[in-house]
Amino acid sequence: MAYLRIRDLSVAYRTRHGRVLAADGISLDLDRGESLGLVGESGCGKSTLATALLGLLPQSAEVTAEALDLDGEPLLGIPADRLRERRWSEVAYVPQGAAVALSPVTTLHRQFFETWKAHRKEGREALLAKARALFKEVELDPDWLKAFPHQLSGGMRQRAIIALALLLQPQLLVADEPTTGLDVIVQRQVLDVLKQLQRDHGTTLIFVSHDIAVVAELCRSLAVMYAGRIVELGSARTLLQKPKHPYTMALQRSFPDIREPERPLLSIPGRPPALGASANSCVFADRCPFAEKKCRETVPALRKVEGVKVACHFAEAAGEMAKAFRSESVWQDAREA
Amino acid sequence: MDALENADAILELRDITKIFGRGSAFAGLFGKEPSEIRALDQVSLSLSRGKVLGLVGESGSGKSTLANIVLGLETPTAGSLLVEGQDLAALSREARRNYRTRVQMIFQDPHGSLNPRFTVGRTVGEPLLVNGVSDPEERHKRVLAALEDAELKPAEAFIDRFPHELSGGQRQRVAIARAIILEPALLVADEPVSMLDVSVRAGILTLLRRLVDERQMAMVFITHDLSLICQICDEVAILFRGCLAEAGDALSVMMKPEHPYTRELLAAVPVPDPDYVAPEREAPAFSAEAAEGQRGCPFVVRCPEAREVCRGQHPETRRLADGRRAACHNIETPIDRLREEKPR
Repeated sequence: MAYLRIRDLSVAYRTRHGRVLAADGISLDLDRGESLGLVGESGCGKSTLATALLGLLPQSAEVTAEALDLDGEPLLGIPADRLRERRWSEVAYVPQGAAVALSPVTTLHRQFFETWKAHRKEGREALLAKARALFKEVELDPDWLKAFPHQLSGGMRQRAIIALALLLQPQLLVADEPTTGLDVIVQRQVLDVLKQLQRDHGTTLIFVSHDIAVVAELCRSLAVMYAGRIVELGSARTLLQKPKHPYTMALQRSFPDIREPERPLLSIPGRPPALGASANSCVFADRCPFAEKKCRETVPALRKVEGVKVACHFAEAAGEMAKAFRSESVWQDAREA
Repeated sequence: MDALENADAILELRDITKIFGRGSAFAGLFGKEPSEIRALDQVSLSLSRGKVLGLVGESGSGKSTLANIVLGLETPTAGSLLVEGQDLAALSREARRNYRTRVQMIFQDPHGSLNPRFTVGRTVGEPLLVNGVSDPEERHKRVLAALEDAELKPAEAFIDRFPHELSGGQRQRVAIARAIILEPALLVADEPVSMLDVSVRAGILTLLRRLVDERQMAMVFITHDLSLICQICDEVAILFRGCLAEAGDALSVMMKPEHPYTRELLAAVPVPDPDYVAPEREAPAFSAEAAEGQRGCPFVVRCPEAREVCRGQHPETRRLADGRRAACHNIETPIDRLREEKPR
């Protein structure tokens, strides 16, 4: 059985303006040691999905799922202290914006110790040895443990957070946009650290990002999310080389590639739908240049087509769509329609 | 400085140096040696009408300091700044006020740069109000025109909305409308698309480019995303620790980088292709900074191609065969080549 097993997971937030369905019927499996990238625009539900794995969603969230199991044991509906036990020792989290994730008023060493104390019985010496080893692993001088977060640069802080996430040797690391906002040089350092972790420790990685290029480099499989749903799921190689869903194609064309500096970027007309209730049409239909009557009337199921899973009625015609797509006029027509 | 003499230049920076922290009261108070930070070191750049200059560098490279100097928010320690031929340092108080209307800023985060309690119309119209356009009808007309120009159509539908009712892309368009309403000569855009969703980035870049072309403005485009440079910029300047590493035509610098720092930056950009194998990164040649008392090349600690001369001597910015400028001891200029061919 898969290490992480998600079946029909939905998350709805209760807000002043009614229910917002942020994740809708998510199903996926992830084997031990694998890496999965979750990509999509803001509001597509990728962070909601990531935080649901840690049981860190706010009170206003209603989580329902047929199954949400890690290592054969459910993560949902278990007593709070069992969840607390598993959190960080089995699943750890690297948040976006490391600048605010650390406490500014205590030293890093102290923050490492707090985490250690909550889970382990061994004393300070054991922690210190472990923390120093981890700092070396993320290529930070262990002496920085004595420092306060503000004394570190952005990249060093992000690496310190990764070290903190690894403190209890988690099997699964969930990283939510850990490189967003960092400059390319620092981003490169963080990516190298994450790659090394996968190689040396076989850590399972879930990497949330809007940046296809970063995900392509780090993750073996890829889930493209749109309006709370997975629209395409499969190996990163297949998805990026032969996308089947028009949204994946569009996302790819709207992203620059340093090897083709002059290729025009695509702007996808329209905006994602409101996330009120479960849609009864294809979620991308309003922005899709290939949408037909069928797309507006029935929800396409996530089904297997040529080795990937895709939620599009016309996935078999992906080749023709991809061809049509290279001409920008397809999108202009969609805008006028 | 030869080709900096440019008749059509909107912006000209001549040997701009900015040093922070000299004579700080606090440093003296705690009995420490006053420390100096050289945020910019003799940077010269020029930008013509209708052109976009990309300003690239990692955090701490001095890009924001340079932007602040151009905006008139910081004064350079040395060097001069000319906008439309006028030396900023020589301006009177009144003329400086007018100058501020000629240079406008677009910020990175459209969520933070718009007042949440102002309607779109009030936000876009405020620069007019501040600059003495007191007739409400004229203001209204100009606000509508600016919104239309920023592709918020129909403008009437947006003018009474609040920022929270708009998407990220629309908010950035409002910020752009506010920046162009005074018809500035120069725009400074600090990472204007990095907070936006990828699906709307292209639209904002196209809009900025069109505005620069149609209105014959100039724009300084600050970014650390090198893959965007060729989408919008004509020229590019790469900064490292306050020094100009390389500057020139955007496409030729991106396709054929000469400075080892530009190469490092380009190699660090992730490529959206799982089969792409990144080239091995070379280790730096030296581990130590320049020797005590000497001012070597700022890049020496990270440079795989550094030689002994790089530690002892700061490289001059020199012009290369294709017109670009670079500061590196290892780059051959046409003059070097002549010298080699005809030994004295």
